[in-house]
Amino acid sequence: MQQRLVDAVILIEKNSSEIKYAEKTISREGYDIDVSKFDYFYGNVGAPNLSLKLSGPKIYKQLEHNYQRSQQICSILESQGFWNTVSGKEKLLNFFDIASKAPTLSTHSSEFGTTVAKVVETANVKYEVKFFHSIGDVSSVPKITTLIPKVKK
Amino acid sequence: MLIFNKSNDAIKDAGDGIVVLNFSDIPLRSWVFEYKGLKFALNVNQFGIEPSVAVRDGILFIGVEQAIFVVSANNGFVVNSISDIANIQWLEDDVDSCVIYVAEDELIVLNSHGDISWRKNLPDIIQNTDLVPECLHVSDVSGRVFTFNITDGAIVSSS
Repeated sequence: MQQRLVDAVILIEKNSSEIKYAEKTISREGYDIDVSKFDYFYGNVGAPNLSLKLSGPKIYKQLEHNYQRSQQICSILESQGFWNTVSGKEKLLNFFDIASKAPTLSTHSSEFGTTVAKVVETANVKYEVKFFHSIGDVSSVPKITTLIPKVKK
Repeated sequence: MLIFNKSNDAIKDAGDGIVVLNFSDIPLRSWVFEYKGLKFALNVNQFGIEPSVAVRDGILFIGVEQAIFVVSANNGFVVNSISDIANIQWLEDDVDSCVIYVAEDELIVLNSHGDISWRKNLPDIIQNTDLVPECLHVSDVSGRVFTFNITDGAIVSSS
């Protein structure tokens, strides 16, 4: 049965973008998604502390890249109406439902499992969604690992 | 140190001695840089993250967005290219024998000639990496930590 995002929400503070969840993972038909992914997709990855720039420039740069990437995905999603709200995220889940049934673009395997990239195109954006099938998972329900939105113009 | 300039258009014409490399299947804009008199245009979709470039024995390793190109620094000839990557995040190039590209959810390790030594998809997005003698530590956003042998990608430890 499709699990809706709203079922996992336990608190929505009015006039706040903060959403808390009762569950760590949302199960949909054909895939699961950790709710923490929404932090990554919606720019809620903390910017690295500036003090790290001197004390640990390498890790600062890596954390900065994660932050920039998260911001970039968020910017494109919101430009396409996938807002950082419960309803916006529900819309994104509905989009992932379509992606899970979309054509496979590429497949890569390792001792950890298999990553399958699926592609969905809209008028303005080409989305690649990555699904990871863990080895040893007999049900073989994949988890969404990342999303690569590419604007067309 | 290389300086990357932004061009708000993808550069299609390889004329005027420019080496044009497509790092996205939807190139909209371009990073431009020069290396030893050769001018490179790296066509990308977004300007989110700067290219990661390493040099080994006259070979340039260039990674950004969804591709890695290995190019002769003498004439711009493409030695190797890999184009089905999630997104290049950064590289580890403090190892003489190889160049380690860290993408969102995978590691791609090239030898000094530009051939793939090993490539490994991981269960989640990589948060940070660190080199230790002969090994690479990898932490992902789910809190897992892996250690890989740099030479062959064998898992040394995971937790």
